[in-house]
Amino acid sequence: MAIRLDMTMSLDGYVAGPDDDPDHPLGRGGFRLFDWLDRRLDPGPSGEVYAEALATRAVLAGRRTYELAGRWGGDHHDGVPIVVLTHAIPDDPPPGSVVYATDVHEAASLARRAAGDGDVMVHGAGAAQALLRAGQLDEVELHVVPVLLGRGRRLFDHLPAGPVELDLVRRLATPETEDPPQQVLHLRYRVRLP
Amino acid sequence: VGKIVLYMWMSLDGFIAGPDDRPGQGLGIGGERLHDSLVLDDDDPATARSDDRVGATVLAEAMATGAVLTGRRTFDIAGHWGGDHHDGVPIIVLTRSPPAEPAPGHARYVTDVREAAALAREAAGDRDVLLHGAEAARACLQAGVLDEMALQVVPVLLGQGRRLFDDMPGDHVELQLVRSLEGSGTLHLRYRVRTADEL
Repeated sequence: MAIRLDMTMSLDGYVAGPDDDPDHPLGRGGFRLFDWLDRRLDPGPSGEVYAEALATRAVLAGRRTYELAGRWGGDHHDGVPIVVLTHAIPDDPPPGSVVYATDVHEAASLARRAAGDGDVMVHGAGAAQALLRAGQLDEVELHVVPVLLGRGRRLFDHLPAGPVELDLVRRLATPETEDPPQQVLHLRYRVRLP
Repeated sequence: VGKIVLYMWMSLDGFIAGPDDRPGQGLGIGGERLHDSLVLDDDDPATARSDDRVGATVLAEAMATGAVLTGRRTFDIAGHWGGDHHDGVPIIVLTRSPPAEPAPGHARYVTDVREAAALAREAAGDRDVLLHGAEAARACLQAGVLDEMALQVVPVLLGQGRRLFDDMPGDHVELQLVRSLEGSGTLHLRYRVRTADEL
């Protein structure tokens, strides 16, 4: 159905703070971005979008995100296939439901096939950028956190000049009564085919 | 008392102009896309109109401001707005080194951001101050004098160009979304900067 990027981003476009590494996968101060997940199991917009993410039938991630996440122990959610886009396939066999792919088109078609009638969740800035460059991203779901991080790892970076047109298909804001740290704006865009 | 409100049109990936923005090509290569929903006569911001009702509302708010605060780069690229941005309100231009010739029309040059903000507020009286330009926005953020941001998020990825939020210190700035409107696919977000005593 759809290959959909799912990322939490600060209003100034960062998905992690500065100096992210395996010991600090979210970088300095990056934990602020994930306060909204405190509401992931509650009724309301944040619970709704979280449930949708976990209803996807395949995961497509970049190698960096995959390693920073400790390879998700081989199971991101419900044992769905995980396609990892990498420049160099690791020597050790992939854990759990993981398969490696070195080509972005191959990764996209593997993930689409694995998801069947379901959607594919894309995770990580590197995979997102590769899919955008290859014209293989169908939708973008952004959880926009009302904070400026100032520095860190950007979601939209290393892209060629030239417009990629989008259509805003959904906008869900947390209610005004929500506590400040858990406030977030969930935006869904469809990527228009060129 | 009026607020200092940043008004910017930005792509979803955070660009306010395409690459190679300069006088005569103020929005850079491909950056006109960001102003597709606006119609201007002779590049005069006071004549700006929008086809959709929500966009028109936001424009009307911007043009109801009582002073303009901007950076030198934006001011120069815009051809100084002929010395009059809208309705002859005072234009405060933040610059590191004021040029020798006097500022045109209703503009004046100021070198200190706090002084610029205070002058703009005073000039605007009960009305808001329209803040425009990335560098002035950063300076105001860092000086703690920015009250709100009215961001028009255009549904496009430009890929490259000039970013609104760039080259900032790593201190977090906490915000509150106070309004979210949609018009013709463009998202009009209004954020309030949380003050130190709320945090």
